[in-house]
Amino acid sequence: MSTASELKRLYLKGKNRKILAILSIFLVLLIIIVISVSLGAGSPRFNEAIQVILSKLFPFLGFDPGPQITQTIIFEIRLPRVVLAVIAGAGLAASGVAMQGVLKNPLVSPYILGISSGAGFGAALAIALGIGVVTQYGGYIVVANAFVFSILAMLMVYGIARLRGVTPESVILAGVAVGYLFSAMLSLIQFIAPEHAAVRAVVFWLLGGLSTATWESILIVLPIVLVAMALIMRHSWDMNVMSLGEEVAMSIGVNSKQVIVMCMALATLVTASIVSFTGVIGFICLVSPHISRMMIGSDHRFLLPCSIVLGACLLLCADTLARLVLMPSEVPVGIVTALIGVPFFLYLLLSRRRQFWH
Amino acid sequence: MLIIVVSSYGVYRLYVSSENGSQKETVTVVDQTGVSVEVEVPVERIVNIAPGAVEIICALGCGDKIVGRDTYSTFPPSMSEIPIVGESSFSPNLELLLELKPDLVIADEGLDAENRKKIEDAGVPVIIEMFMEPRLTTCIGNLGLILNAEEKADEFIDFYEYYENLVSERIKDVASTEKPSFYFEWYMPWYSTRPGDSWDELLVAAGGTNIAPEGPISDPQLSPEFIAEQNPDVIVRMLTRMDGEDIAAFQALRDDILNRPALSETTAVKEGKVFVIKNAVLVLRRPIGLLYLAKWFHPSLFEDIDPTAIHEQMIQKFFGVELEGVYAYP
Amino acid sequence: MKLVINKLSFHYNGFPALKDVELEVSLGEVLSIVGPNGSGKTTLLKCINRILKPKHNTVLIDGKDTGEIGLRELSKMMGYVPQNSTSTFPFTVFDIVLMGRRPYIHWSLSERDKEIVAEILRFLGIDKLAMRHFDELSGGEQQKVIIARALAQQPQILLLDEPTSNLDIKHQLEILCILRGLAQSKHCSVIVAMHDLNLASRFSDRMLILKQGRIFAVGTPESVLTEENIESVYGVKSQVTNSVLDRPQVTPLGSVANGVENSKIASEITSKHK
Repeated sequence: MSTASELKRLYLKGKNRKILAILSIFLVLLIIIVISVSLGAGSPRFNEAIQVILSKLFPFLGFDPGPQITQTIIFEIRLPRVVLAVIAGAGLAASGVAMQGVLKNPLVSPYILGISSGAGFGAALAIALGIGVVTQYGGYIVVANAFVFSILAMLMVYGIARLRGVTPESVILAGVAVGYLFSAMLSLIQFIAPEHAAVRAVVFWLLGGLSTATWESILIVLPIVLVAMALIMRHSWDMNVMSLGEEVAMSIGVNSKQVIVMCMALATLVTASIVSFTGVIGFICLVSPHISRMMIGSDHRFLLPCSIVLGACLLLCADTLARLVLMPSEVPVGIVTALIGVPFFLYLLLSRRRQFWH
Repeated sequence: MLIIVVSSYGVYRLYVSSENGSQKETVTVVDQTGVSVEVEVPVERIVNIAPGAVEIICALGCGDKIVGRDTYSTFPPSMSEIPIVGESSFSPNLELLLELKPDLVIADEGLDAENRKKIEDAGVPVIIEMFMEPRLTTCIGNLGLILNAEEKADEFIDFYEYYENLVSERIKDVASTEKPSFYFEWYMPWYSTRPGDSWDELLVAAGGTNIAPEGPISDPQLSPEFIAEQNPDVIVRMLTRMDGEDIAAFQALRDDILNRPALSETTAVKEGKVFVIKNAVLVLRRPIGLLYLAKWFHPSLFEDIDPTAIHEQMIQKFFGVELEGVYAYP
Repeated sequence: MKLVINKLSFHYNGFPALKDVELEVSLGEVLSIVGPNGSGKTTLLKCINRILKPKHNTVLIDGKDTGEIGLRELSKMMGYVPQNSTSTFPFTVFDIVLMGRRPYIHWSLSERDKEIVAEILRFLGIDKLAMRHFDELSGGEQQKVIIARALAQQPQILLLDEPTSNLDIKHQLEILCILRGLAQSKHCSVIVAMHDLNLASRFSDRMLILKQGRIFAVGTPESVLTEENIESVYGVKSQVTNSVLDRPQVTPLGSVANGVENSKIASEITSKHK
């Protein structure tokens, strides 16, 4: 018969191991960031990169940032891209965990609410109607429209789900229906739109790309993602409890319906704001939670931070590879995320270990 | 004896000419796919599903023979009356097309083999052509032959070749180090063209050098830092109808490039040498595009050339209408 | 803490599941709810803890309508152990019991939370299982974990829906003893819906028989478990004797619907063995 303090100690040990795991992944992320900033189709490497960054962070310390071109490459091209990859990876992973936790299904992603189809449709609509030019900046209209339509998609899902009561089953079914609806409308636009270029634009959205990253776009995406992620993490306990079933959750004081709606809205917000700028990047929101769950268990208090850091790692890796593998051309990042995510996932699945970290 | 010889010869001649008269004349050309196509002439009813190619047919003076067109064939304005039988060669509506009982169908490589066979099985010859260099002059010549408009075709080809030669002459003595480097972008940010691709070929003919390297991917999406480092002297951005047709659209595209942080340090942006050009003058009206590009690349060598005026001339001469719209900016 | 139920009625889409149920449960009492399938046992439990929403002022705790008490506050007063337990994601025993502390947790866990969980695990004798995964456990162990989870809420009323239906006799006794002990020592009330009349008889202070959503009888097991009542409610002829534990024991003989024949066979069997 163990004493209470022994039990607490055991529990603490498990908890500490999990925290250690998360910190290790965070460390890996930092390393990948450093590597990413040091590599690219341009010539600046690690030394120049460090010089530029330090000179911007601590201007009074007199670091020589080097020629203007180096500064432009590091500070205006590479760094924003790396930062956006980290933010997008983190946000997508967080919304993946939120959706899976709340719908109690490890196979859902935020895209199941029709967000990707909605965003793609919104973007294509703006382009096809000639409202938004497909440019980095004029593209803000396209971005805004993509965002609006993904939110619209989520609202439709919510509205339909409410007809039969907001449960995981109704949300998933409604999401699939709405997703197909927008997919079909998207195909219709591709069919009607006056130029093949609309098709190309849609392909861009569906494959995803971080090449349009600027500090301005980060300034918009970052606060939304940060705030939403924080709010999602506040629901960690609720997501744990909800896995026991709706009725039991209620008896423990958790209103499942409210939590589902809240997390759905937050996940949509995060995903929509990311997707509007980067197009649809798949797999991160599915693979990152899965791998994290295998490593660290289902307790959302640890699952969320782990997924977030892992998602950032994965996307940053993928984007760096996308930039480097066929220099100076770039590969759409969505292709790379598939190629990275799937084999890793299969490996973990086949190695039959439930949890690496107790 | 002489009378018998003369009259029998006369009878023979009559017999021969009546044979000839009941036989329809045909013209055979080899189209872009290498197929020998036999076309019965004269051709009275033409369906064109090669995007925009009605222009060429009209320039050859056979605009009135067009009975069906594709969605993109909207110039000259008289074409708006003609029924549409398909968006492009990719997706022709065969029923509509055959209903119009054409004598000839002109398409581009988008037409797949099955569709081609179906049209040919219905007794209608199909010519597949690429209305771009290096095939453009040949296909204009072929069309001239078929449509019995060889004179007009020659005129057209002469017009083209005059300006091609003018440009190549003036830039032939420019050393390769003097040629401005260019970054060409089309459709989406950072999408460019690689050496050997069609856009690249045109810009090189105008006397520029592409910053993009050779590589396995055609129309590659280039890394912004690569472009920044290559520091192009000139940036050319293509505009399509989808981006808008008024001057504001041109300005928007130009401003976008001028404002991109990644390009802020390039010579092109710093010196304002960012140009936007409409795709219409890069393909079918190639000489005009060529002139604009040459003037942008080598302003001192082409000071006397006004591409807009020449464009107006061309439209007036071959189509009999006024030139409308913006095609290049600034 | 006094639970009062006033004229509780509940409809499922027009189908009346409960009608005019009136009940009072005081602290430290074990009340078992019995009745045929579909008589409304589960519905009654769910109405008490507001998983189902009855009309106003029908369920009162210390005079307050449960409808007015917030979900979180209510979960500090009542713990619920359902008939079937699932967990979509794998959790350890400790984690699951810890979830019962949710009503008290605002930001992070306190030492006290962990202590309470540890104590409960010891009390139920499942402390050795603390770091094991829930789905690896046997039925009896799982049931204890779920009860532990409900206890972690520190409730004053514990509601259980057929907690022993799938257990062997050893675990059945264990669990019911624990529940009875809880009621007596910790001064909480235990309301259990059960099938097994004899177990209910043995471990309850009072029994309530539901028939077609109405209270058929309520009172001590002796007063409630009569041969007439059982025949009336279940349609079964039985013999009620006093068991060695000084509680009524029901021996079912034959169902009345089949007429005299069944009971004739039954009485022949019993007479043979006399």
